[in-house]
Amino acid sequence: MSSGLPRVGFGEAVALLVVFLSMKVLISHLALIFPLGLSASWMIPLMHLPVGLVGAAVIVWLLNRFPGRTIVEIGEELVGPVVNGFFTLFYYVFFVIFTALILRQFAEFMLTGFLPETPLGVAVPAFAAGAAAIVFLGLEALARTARVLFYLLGFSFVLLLLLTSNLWAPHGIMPLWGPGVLALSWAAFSTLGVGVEIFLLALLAPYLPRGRVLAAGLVSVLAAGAVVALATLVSLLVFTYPVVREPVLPMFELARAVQWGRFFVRMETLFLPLWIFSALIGLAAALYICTAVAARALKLPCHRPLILPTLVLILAGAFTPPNFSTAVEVGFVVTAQWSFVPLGAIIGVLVAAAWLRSRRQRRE
Amino acid sequence: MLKTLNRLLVFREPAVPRYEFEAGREDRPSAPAGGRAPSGAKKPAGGAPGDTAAFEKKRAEGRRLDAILKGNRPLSTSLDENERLLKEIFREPGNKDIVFRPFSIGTERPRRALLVFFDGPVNTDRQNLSILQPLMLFAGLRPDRIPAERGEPGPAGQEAREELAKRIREALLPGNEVSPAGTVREVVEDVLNANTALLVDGLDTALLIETKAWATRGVGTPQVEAVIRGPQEAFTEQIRINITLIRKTLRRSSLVTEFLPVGRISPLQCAVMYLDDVANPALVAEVKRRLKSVGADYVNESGILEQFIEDMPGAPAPQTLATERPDRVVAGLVEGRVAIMVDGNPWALIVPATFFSLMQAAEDAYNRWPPGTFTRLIRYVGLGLALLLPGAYVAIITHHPEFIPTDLLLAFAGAREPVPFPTAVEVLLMEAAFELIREAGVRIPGTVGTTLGIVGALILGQAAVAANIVSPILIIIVALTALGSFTIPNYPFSNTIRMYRFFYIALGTVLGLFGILVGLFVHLALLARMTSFGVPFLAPVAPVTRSAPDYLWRGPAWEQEERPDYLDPLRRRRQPRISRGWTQRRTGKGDDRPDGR
Repeated sequence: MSSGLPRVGFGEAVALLVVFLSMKVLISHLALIFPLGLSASWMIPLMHLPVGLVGAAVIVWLLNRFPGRTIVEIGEELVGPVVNGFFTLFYYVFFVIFTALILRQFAEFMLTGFLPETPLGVAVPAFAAGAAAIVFLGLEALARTARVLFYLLGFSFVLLLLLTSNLWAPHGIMPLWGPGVLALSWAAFSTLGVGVEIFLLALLAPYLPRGRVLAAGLVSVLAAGAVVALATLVSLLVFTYPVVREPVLPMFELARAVQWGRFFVRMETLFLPLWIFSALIGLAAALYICTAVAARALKLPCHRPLILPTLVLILAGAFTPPNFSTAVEVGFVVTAQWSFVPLGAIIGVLVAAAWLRSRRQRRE
Repeated sequence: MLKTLNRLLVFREPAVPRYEFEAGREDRPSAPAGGRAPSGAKKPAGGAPGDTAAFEKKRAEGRRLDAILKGNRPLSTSLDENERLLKEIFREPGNKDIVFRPFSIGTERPRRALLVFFDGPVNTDRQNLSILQPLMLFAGLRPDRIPAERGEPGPAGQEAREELAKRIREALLPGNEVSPAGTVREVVEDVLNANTALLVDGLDTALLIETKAWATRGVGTPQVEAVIRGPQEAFTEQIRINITLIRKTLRRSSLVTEFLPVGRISPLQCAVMYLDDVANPALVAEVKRRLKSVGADYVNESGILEQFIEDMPGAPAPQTLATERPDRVVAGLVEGRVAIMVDGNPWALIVPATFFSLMQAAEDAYNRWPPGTFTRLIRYVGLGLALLLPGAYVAIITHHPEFIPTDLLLAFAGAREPVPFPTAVEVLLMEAAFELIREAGVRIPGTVGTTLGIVGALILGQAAVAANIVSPILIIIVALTALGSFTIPNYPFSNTIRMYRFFYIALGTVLGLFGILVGLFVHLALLARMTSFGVPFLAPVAPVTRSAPDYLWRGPAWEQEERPDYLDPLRRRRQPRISRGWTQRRTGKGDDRPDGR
């Protein structure tokens, strides 16, 4: 009853993409957004939404022109193996760096919040091993696990936000437009790379139900945008501006702020699954991108042999930043600020090539 | 005198006793490849069991007889030859429970015949009244019209022989199940199944007569899957009784039972049951394909068979649903699943199995839906406790004490203060003690079972706490864990959970809750990857498929409108959208109420 190719359902794809796109709110992403958007920071994810939706639609348009193929094979078809080799190398290197920095940030979070006695050399490989195990099991297992955990993650996230409701101070988001419309727009524009994780859709598409790729992309972007916006908004309401700029891990501080009567006073451990499962799903998705891209480029039938070598590179990358704050800053610069330019350019080249090709075919 | 002194003082090698059977000795000459022993090896006198020549002869004989059976050798028309061959196959005269009963059929011209059967498992009354009496006493009442000539060649002789066999079968044997057999193998297999073979001189066809009377216990109550409300019948060791129990509940013409022999050395009947108009034919074909392909030596229990046919032998959960309850099998069949039963054991396997089906108990459906749902949720809580509680306790006490509210933390610290062991050691000690008691409880004879209870209570309870080996809180943790594991309705699944608990204790010890969550994530991924006969183990949650409300919670019986989509049954709908017809308003012409109200 099961075929050799993985099959990913609509709900599974959405769960995977939403967690992958929004997991950054659990680490220090918000801490670097607040200085840009000030009290209107919660609007930045909403401003990203139209670009994200258009980006997803463009990627899906490209994928739909070549059904059953991923972006790597499509690139080879459109721009040839040499140019596409550079594109693939960029995908691989970028996502290795991305994974390494995310891994380091989550590991540092664990040490800061829950395991202060544990060395970094244990936390980083533990996360990496969990992610590698699930990538070894395959895309289907990853997507299904994300789907099963999606309920738990969603419930924990909403509960976390709601349990802080007694601390909400409406003046936290005042002045409403923060630094002003123009500065806010620039802040949104300069961080367009936050949605770079949608690239996963370009690798998932061949395994998704026909005709539902666009829906999966749009729903995921909308849901992830809502999650990031809500997390930003509640952080602002609880801590208010400018205090909100102080915590390095705003969501964790939010969890620590939860108090429920005199008995339940340290509730952050209750929300630990939210962090760990999101991190593992995100890391596994990123590792899958790296290995799948490389496997497709090298024409390997299976991505498994590349897990270990890629993991070695990721671990090396994770240990490179000298400290947590460097990892956070580099991560923000590489992904949020600069990744959009090259990745957008590559997608733009591929879309243009596809469009020219279809025009030529129509003429012939 | 000197000799005696010498004998006492001088050291001698103690005499090694000699045994007839000395296999496995290190000083034994090693057998050459493909052979048994060097030809020059000294042979014990008298053809003892250790004799190489006797060994080789016996092996050759066994191979020859196996070849006869495998080669489907036809029966001879000579009764003497058939008798000689069957005696060889059944190792007569060494074998004392095989019976060769010669007699004469009382026709005008008496004809020699032979009954072959095993002493014990056959019904002797039936043999006497339905075989021997009519053949010996009443055969003359209807004399042969076409006597078969012994050894007569050609089609005429063959025709005569067939006519005689048919006549005996149709007119002289009043038993309800008589079938002809033309090969030695068929005769041997049927005799092994406690039937009686009738061989007649001049006929190359034997008649196999149903005389089974296996010693078997009656239908009892379920021992493992007990319920308060619902049928109280359980399967027995007799496959026919088990099938009858299912047919008694599910009276449908499309209920098919197919028999497949499984096992090489002693093929046991394996029944495959399914509803022909509901179960997906591809699923049925897959089940049969797997069963036919089993090349096992001996399969006498569904637990052994399960290991041969499951999708992923190393997976962290069973992939078949083992049950001793006919009503559960019927519920599975009605959903479109396939049931597998092995003769000689009271457990049926239902395939495919999913995680949610393993967590269901028969009683869920018999209760009204609110308590049904509640008990099911309690069971999931029990699963969580059984799997994670000890590990989480170790993790929280060791790595995350800040999670415990201050008052409770002080109580914990006070209770743990006199205990010299770290929490992990304490938990492992108690869990190991509990597992020992549990295992001993299964093996212990019933009469001393109460003693075990006292010993267990003393070890787990008072003595361990009084000796400051464990804290009283840990007793609560272990007890809750045990209760949790007992709530899991599927025994093999419960065993698996027990085993994985120790992994979580280890993870909690090393990495705290972080380790447990990473382990849980990988565990979940393994389950997500598992399949049971091609069906994803976590269906209908991952992948999401259509299903009636009967997995995480139990919906009302009248809402169970569809069969599980993941089984892809031939009939998707179980009942109409509105199955409580009386709730529909009747108006106008369609109103068939007698008083017109």
